[in-house]
Amino acid sequence: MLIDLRTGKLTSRRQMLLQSFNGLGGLALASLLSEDSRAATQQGRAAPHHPPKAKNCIFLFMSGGVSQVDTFENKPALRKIDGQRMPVLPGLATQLDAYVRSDVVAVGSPFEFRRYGGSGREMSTMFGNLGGVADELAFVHGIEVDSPLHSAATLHVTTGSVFAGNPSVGAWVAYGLGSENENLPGYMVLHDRRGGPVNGSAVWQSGYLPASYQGTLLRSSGPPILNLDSRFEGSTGRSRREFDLLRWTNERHAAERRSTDTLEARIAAYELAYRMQTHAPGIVDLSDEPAWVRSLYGLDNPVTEPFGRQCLLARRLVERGVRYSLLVHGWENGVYSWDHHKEICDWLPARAQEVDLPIAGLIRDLKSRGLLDQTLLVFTTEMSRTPFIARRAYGARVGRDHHRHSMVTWFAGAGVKGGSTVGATDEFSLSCADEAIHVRDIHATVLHLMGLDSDALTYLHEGRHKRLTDTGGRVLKEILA
Amino acid sequence: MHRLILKSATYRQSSVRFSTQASKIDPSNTLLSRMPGRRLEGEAIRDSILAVSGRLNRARGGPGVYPRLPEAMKDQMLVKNWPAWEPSSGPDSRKKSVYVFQRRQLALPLLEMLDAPVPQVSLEERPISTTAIQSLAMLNGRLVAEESQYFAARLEKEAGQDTQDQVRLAFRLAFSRDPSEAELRQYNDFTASEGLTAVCRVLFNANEFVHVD
Repeated sequence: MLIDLRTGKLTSRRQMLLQSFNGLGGLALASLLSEDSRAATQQGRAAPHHPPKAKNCIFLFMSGGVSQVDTFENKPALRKIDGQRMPVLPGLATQLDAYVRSDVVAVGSPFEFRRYGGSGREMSTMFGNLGGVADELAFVHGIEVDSPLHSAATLHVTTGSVFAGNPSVGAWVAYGLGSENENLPGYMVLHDRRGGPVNGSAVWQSGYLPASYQGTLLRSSGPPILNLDSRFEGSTGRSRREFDLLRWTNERHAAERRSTDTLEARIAAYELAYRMQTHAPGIVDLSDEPAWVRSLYGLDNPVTEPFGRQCLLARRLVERGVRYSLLVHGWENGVYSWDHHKEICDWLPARAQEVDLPIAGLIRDLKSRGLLDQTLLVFTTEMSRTPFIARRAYGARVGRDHHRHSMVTWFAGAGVKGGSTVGATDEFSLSCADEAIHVRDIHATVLHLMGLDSDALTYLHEGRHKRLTDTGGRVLKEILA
Repeated sequence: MHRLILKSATYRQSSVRFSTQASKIDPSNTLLSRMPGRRLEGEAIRDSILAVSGRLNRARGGPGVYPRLPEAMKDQMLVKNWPAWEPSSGPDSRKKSVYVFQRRQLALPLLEMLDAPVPQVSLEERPISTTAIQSLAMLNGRLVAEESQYFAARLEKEAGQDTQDQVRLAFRLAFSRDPSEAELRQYNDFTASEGLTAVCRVLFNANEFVHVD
């Protein structure tokens, strides 16, 4: 035993080496000790830690930063001081240089709010259709994000870290639970037809986890999965004879070798590829959906059609056992996203209109098919927006800048207590009013509902057992059924 | 240090031919009594395909390779301006993978699927995964589709018009060995009905091509 000089506690040599992960000794030992366990973990755990409430998750990510005080958080106090200097709240002045500047004035929401459902949930009338299913939603207010910048905040919400290179939430879920459908990847991504979110594929990548856990893009037109159709790249399709010769060759090769796990996995992967060539195109063929379903998702209206299609495809993926679907709405940042610095009166209602009906339709459709009991929906964005504006920069125009202390997210579906709320912000939505809720709490709750313990779901990387939630993460029990 | 390791008898062992005694004493190979078989990294797979088709540009240095992205990515723009870059053409596009340009937001799909690490973080050991998405990329993607045609043309040029000679040369180039009698028969029949390019595709996709013993 040795004494740790920093803490004064006794520690074993092994512990000390493991803890000092900056040292080469620790690295080498950690790597040696973990060799066997890593061999196992690279295949994924493929088993939940506890009985899951949700089999599937649909993660709705609104790119750009949804303005909370104009959508899901009514602040009458802010309207009362509209155009006046913001009152400076204690504590925040040091954190928010921008808001103590002399030209900063409060911006009350120009939008009308109304109470919806039996729970009396207050929402902007922009989300009137969503209001119709308000009693299914559970809101989380006053969420802290680690950055007020699009790129870092988007990574924080989608991968748990503001730094690029970490596994996305869906990759952790796929790693923890494995795939439910052997004919399709377990983690699919559908993004805005106008373009992807900030950071591109970093939002759904597998980071240091094996590539098998990364999200697979599902295209809305043409062959749904990259390389699915050989004709797309100019040749004429792969015959069964070609697959048969390949299989024959690979089986002879494997027969001469002892350790054949990876060889057999690859033989199986080609059989799956062959089946995918046949089955996957059916996912995006919506011709078997009746007219009433199509209009439920707004496919009959050019404004709601693009996101409606994403939502309808998400339901079809749930039916086919795809565990995690990431739906991105909004192209990077700027007016075609939720990033409205000075034109909120025009663009925010336009964005809301694109998603309101489709999301409400998705919830109703899942419910009527009995799938809402096994499917978790999470609606989020990457940050909140300021309740104030700098007049010098924007003149008389109405908009809001980036803010990181008061993001709103809602949950719905499996294991979620509809109509409930956790967290609250102060009267101006500058920051959380009581106990801080952090992005990692959102992630811990998602994992929990899917049967995973965020503390126990680890992967050894750079000598550390890394987690999606790093060193924290509280399951938000207040909104669980 | 690397020289010492690479020249050692331990490193130069085979994963296939080893004594039964060794497998009894060291069943899980913790004593390194044999070479663990492994799949090549994505970069090495790309380089090997180009080398076998006879089109690898071995030039060192110079401008990076700007890969041609699949057309299928076009309608789901991942970047604000399409194309993301002007793709390299001619021999410049066929340099070794170490010269392939990396953009953080837009990895080359084939390499990304084959476990190439994201460039933002260090990685002490690269994971190797096996997925059907990889199989689709290797069967239907542009690289294998194009290079199979060049490989076939190379076989016709170097082995002449006799199918058996073509198959023999194909095995030597792709697997560094001659085909067995059974293989020669199977591949000969297959060539007659499906064509030489299909043979080349099968060889590029074979486990023997992407695994090292």
